[in-house]
Amino acid sequence: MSDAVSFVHEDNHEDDQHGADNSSLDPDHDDDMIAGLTQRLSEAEAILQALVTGQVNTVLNNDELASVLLRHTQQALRQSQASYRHLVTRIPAVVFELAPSGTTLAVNEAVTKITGYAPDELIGKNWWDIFIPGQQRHQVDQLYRQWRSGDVTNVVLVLSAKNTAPVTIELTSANRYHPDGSLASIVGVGVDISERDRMVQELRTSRDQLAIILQGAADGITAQAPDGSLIYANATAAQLLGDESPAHLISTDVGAIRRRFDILDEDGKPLSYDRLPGRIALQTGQSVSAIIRFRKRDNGVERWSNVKATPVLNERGQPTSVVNIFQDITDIKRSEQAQRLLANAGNILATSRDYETMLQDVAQLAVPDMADWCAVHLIEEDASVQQLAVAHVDPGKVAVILEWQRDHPSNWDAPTGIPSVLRTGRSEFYPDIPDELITATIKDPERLAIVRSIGFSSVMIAPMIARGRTLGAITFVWAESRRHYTGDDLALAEEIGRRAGLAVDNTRLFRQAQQLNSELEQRVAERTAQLRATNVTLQTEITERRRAEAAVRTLNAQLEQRVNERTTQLQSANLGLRREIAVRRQAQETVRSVLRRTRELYDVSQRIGLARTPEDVLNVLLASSYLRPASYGSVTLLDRPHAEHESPPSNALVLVDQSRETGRPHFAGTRYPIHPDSVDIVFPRTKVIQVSDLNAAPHIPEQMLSHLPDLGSRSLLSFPLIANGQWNGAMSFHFLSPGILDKSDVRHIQGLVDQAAVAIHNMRLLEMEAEARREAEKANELRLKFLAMISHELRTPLTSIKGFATTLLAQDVSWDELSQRDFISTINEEADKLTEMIEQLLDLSRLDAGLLRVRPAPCALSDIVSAAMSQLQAITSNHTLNIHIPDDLPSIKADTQRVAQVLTNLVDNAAKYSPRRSDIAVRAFTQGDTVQVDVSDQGIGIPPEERIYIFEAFRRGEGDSNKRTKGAGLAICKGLIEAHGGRIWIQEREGPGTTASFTLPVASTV
Amino acid sequence: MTVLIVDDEANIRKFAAANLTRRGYRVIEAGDAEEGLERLRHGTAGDVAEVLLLDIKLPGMSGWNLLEAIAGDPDVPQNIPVVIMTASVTDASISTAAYPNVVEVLVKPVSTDQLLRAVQNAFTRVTN
Repeated sequence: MSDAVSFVHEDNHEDDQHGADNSSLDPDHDDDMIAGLTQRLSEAEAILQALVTGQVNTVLNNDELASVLLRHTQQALRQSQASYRHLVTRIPAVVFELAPSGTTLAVNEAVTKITGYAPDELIGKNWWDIFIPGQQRHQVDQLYRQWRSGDVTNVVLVLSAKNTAPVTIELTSANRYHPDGSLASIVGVGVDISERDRMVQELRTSRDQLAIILQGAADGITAQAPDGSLIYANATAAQLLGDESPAHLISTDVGAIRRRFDILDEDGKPLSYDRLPGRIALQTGQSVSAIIRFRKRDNGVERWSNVKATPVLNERGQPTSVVNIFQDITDIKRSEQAQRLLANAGNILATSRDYETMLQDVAQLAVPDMADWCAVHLIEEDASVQQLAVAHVDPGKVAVILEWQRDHPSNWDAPTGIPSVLRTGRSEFYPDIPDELITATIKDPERLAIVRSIGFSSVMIAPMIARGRTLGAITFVWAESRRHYTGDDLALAEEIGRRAGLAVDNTRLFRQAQQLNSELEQRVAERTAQLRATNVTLQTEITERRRAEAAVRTLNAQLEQRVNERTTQLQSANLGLRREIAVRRQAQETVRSVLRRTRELYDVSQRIGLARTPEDVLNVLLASSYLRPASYGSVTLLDRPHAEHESPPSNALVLVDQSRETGRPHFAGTRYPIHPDSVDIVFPRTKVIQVSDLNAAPHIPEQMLSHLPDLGSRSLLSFPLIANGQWNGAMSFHFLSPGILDKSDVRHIQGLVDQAAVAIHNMRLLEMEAEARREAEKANELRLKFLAMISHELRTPLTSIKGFATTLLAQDVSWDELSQRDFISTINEEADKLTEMIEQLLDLSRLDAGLLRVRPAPCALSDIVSAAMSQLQAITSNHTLNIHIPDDLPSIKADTQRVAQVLTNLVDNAAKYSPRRSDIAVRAFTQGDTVQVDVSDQGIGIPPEERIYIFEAFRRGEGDSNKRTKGAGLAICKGLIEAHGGRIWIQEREGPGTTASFTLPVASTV
Repeated sequence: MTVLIVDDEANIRKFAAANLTRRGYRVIEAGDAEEGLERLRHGTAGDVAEVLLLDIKLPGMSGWNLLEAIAGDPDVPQNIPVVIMTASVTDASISTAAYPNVVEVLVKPVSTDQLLRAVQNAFTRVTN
């Protein structure tokens, strides 16, 4: 073959030249080629056959035949080679020939695609140097040896590729031998199974993952073959089906598995194997699901499963296997069962009246769904414990137990179990009862044997409780079923226990109530009989009493009459008493009012004493209770107190008044005219006056009458103010209504007014004193001022005298004679001034002391003027003197010397202060009962404001601009004229100049 | 050395003026405070009063008023020494603390000697 192969390689183009259309790679072409080849081969074969059988009748000789044969064979061979080459080049697998040494003899192009190496790179080289470098080599050596020995024909290797990842190759080889039997070469095909390998890996991985998922699934999952054997089961399935592992389960005979369980349908009826979902699915090719109950035969444990079977179909839609999924719904179903049980129990407990029957029914209900055994114990009213019910599916067993119990009474003091529950009211729960527990609890061997024979696997004892008291206990036991209670079961048991307890309690209470009721009825009947008897007795008594009452009534009437008589007596006595009390009260009241009055009088008089002003006094009186009705009050004072004999003054001053109506004074400060006829009529002097109607009263002054409407005054109460026996004035009160006051009230007010009079008088005296003091002070002040003034005036001429005297006496200078004479003359002049001043001062002081005497006698003014004429003319030498004295001027009462002094003084003054050659006039005339003399000049006038002061002595100094006011002369004139009883003043006149005037009284002719 | 005499009595002015001029003083006379103030204000050269001889009781403005007027008058030399000469004991006893330029208070009647000494003393206070 190697030759043929090498032909393939070396003679490639030779073949091409030989004409068979081998260059194209057309598959049809291949078929044609093969067909041609086959035909040629068959022809060759036929010829050979013919030759062999000698059936050939040919003309051909051996050589021709041989060459024809050879040619055919060669052609066939060539075609075969070509085909083979075609095949080899096109096959996607590596075709190789290896020398026994391992050298690659031939390899096709496919190797490049698979490994990356070109054939050129491989031929002649040791194949494993290239593909399996390194460590795997020894394995390869071994392998190759096996190849060579023909032991291995199939192997998978990982070969390193050029520039790519290693590839996994599956090599299929055949050894070619030489005719002598030695190994010629190894030929083979290598297929790249990397992809396949990878896919297988992936498949394996996903298969593993799936296995994990399935293993971990909470539901049991199995796969069944059509014959029912298990081809797959997960751990849960194994568990459910009572096997230790999936592997074991799968390996177990399916029939054996089946025999482990009683299979029931949802309602608890046996289910045949054929009706299992898996089988139905396999048969119908449809998915089926159903609820199946499996009860394990060896322990009686029952489980509910929701089984879903899904068939796996092949491409023809035929089920090849079925997948079963078991969803365990045991807990749900159990819970449903429990609820139903509870409802049923509730119904029984609610409807039954006879609790013995009721409890038996409950026990029966519990079995077999909730227990294999159920017992109910009750604490009777006498505190003994009775077993009221024992239930089991098998009545025979019940009987056995009952008999045993008869012979072996229970120990109700046991620390655990039913006695404990009855004592404590707390349930006991034994979900599992290992044998140790049993042996520990039960010492008695007989008991132990019984208990063991029952085969307790799980126990719950629930108390029956009502109103806080334990009435009994219900015991639930799983035995042969080998089931075990859960916490949920315990809750259910306790609930049943509670309800049972309540039912029992209610029944008992009902019975009690009924009993009480019948007792009550009996008592009522007895009582009624009693009452009836009592009633009869009472009737008799009442009749008796009525009789007695009638007698009493008669007596009563008599008594009443007597009582009435007595009452009348008492009433008249009462009246007398009351009168006496009234009188006494009156006396008390009088005393009290007297006291009150006294107190008030005292109070008011105290206040009068404390009053500071007449206004205060009036207000105090108005505030007193007696004068509360008064609407107006006033105090009117005479200018001075009048003695008894003195005639009344023409008016008085309203010192203070106050109207309560208007709230203000009305006449205060005004003068009240006193008509002589009004004295002691409307104006009090010696007694109190009451005028009951002011509108009708005489001699009310007009000003008051006009105010009466404002004041609202209708009546008058007026008191004279008398102090020190002298009439000082009056205090009056007005009232809004006409009429007069009560005599005693008037008396009381009189008392207060008398006090007020004294108080007011004293106030006046004080005032006068204060005034006098002020006057004295003022006079004193004036005197001091006067003295200061005198001092000043006297010093002035003295200054010239002293001055010039010392001038002449000064030795440091000498004066000429003229000056000397001048100085001495001045001394003389000033000395004269001084003398005159002193004279005037003496006169003034005499005036002041009231010692200046004038001796007025009737005389004629003209005579006085004549006597003083020469002096007058002397002093008016620079002026024009005019004297006008009428002849019929009456005689005046005058001191001639002094009047002359005054006249001279005035004329001198006029002359001093009027211009030269101006007129100075002296005029005299009659003025009433006086003679007035005016001395006028035309000189500087005297300002009006100074006209009053001009007659004050020595007024000069501050602000005094007029020299005319100098000296004491005019003051002396004033004193002298006033001593005559006349007046002296400066006249107001228009035009410049001054007119000084004085008056003298006319001499009376008597 | 000029002295201004303010007194309403002519004879007293005469006494003071005679004695002062005799001893070399120059004398200006005023019969009342207003005239005196005028003289103080409008003293022409050679006629400026350096010392004031002042009576208190004057017609119109009093001597005190004149002193106050001087104090407030910018045209009048403020520090002009003053000798008060009064017949009023009351005025003489009034404190002159308010009038710091009052050097001496004489109570009439005064002797020539007293007068001259006072004026002399006043001139020592004249600040130029």
